[in-house]
Amino acid sequence: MKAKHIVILATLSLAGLVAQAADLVVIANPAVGPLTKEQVADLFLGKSQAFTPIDQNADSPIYAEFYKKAAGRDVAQVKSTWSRLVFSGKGEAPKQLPDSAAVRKAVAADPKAVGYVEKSAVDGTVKAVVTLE
Amino acid sequence: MKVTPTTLLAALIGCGVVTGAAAQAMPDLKFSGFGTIGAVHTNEENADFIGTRLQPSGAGYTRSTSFNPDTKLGAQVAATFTDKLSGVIQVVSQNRADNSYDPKIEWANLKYQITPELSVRAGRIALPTFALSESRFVGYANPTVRPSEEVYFASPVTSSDGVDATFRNKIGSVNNALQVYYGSTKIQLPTSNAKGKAMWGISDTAEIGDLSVHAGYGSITLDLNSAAFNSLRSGLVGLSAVPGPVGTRAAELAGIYQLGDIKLGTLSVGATYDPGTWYVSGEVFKVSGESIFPDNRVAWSTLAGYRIGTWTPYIGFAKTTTAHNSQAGVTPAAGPATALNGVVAGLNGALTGLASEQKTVTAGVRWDFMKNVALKAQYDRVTTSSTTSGMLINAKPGFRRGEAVNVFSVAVDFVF
Repeated sequence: MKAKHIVILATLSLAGLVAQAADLVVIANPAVGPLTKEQVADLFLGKSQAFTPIDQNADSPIYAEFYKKAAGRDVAQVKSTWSRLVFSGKGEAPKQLPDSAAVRKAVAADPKAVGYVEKSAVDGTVKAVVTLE
Repeated sequence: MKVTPTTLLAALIGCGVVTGAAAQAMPDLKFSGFGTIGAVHTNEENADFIGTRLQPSGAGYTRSTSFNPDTKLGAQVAATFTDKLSGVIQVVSQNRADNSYDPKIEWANLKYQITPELSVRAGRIALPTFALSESRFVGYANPTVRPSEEVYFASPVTSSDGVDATFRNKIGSVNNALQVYYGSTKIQLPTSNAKGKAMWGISDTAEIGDLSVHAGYGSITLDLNSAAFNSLRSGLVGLSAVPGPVGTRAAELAGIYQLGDIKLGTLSVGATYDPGTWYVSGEVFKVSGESIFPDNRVAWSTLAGYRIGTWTPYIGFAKTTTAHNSQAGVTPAAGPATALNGVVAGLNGALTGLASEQKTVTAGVRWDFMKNVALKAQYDRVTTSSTTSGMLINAKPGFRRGEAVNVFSVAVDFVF
């Protein structure tokens, strides 16, 4: 009985993780054209300056999840990449906002902005450009 | 245009005040920094392993374990005045030619974004000589304790006081950045100094997904001031007044070994492929010089690493070879010919010393054990050529050329 409960719990939490994992959406200002996952990764790793990336807090789970899925990189690798760009005077790391509501608001306000939020945080003020699974 | 750090600072502050007043707001300032605490130990007792070409001593002869090669601290302020105008100042403290840790302004420049693709900068600018040259002091950003000395020691010039322009565009799936620069610099080495005038170069970086390719050409005209070469040269100039073959040969050599207007050309090609869980990189550098500088020096390095969670073990190999000249004296050796042959022997010794050939096998591991901090442990097996002491300095008579030197390094890199 107990074992069964654990199995159910484990399955539920796994399902939860999977659901959360599939829920990450890259959002852009409606003025921004279509973007591919590679273009999004280039923006957030400083390889492209075509649009303005808006980041989440580096300590948040969604930050780690985004970089893993969009670019295949963990938090330390992202920090290392940006350190190289920042300390060679080539750019400043994306501005980090505290939560998805703040990111959505910033993306809606700037015609060049691109961000990422949980699917549940998407509304009509922004457009979803890529779903990360 | 002559730019000094003080005028730059004044210009940056001035712009900030003017622009700030116009926008009725203070410029957006960002403070950040980086540093390394590193210890190097070697079993060599008759020569020093150093971390940059500018250092007067290191681990080995001076101390068996030294913090001087890699320890450094950098601070940076980036200011955004308007959408188009920004500025950056970076100050770095590390062991320098005078054995101090005096902070030096690595760069300080103003950037104006003319169009989304084109930007120009004026001030002290990081030179794009190598793939990693603009971040060579930022240990945290680099995979190893320090970039390959074979390649990165080939040019000790890190910045230029002048102007540059960068054009960024996207061609298909390639993000390309093309940079041209012009400027001047001063270089202080432990036993010599040089003025680099009329420096210019072109550099291109192309990013294609996980592949990054860098190619650069640079040209510099140097005025060299070195006690050793000054005396060799005055010896040659003095002997050129002697009638006959001795004077002719001395004048000939004095013509070749000038101390002013020495031209050096550098060519570099490098690539890194980093899909996330592993990486490989390689770089080739060629420098061609006049006067006492080797007319053909080639250096290359390779590196590969594999990420296992927060651990990244890596291995590397690097080598540099030099085609260096030696000069003949005159025969029969008698009278003034003996004096000339003495000067030529000194000259040949110095030319060999500058050849500094070696190879290094590197194995190490990077551990990203906490946020913004990485620990690296590295072993380098450095083998100099049988005629030179390689990149090692302060070589004493007991130093055995051509034999391997074991170098152990531990470094903690951080950014903030």
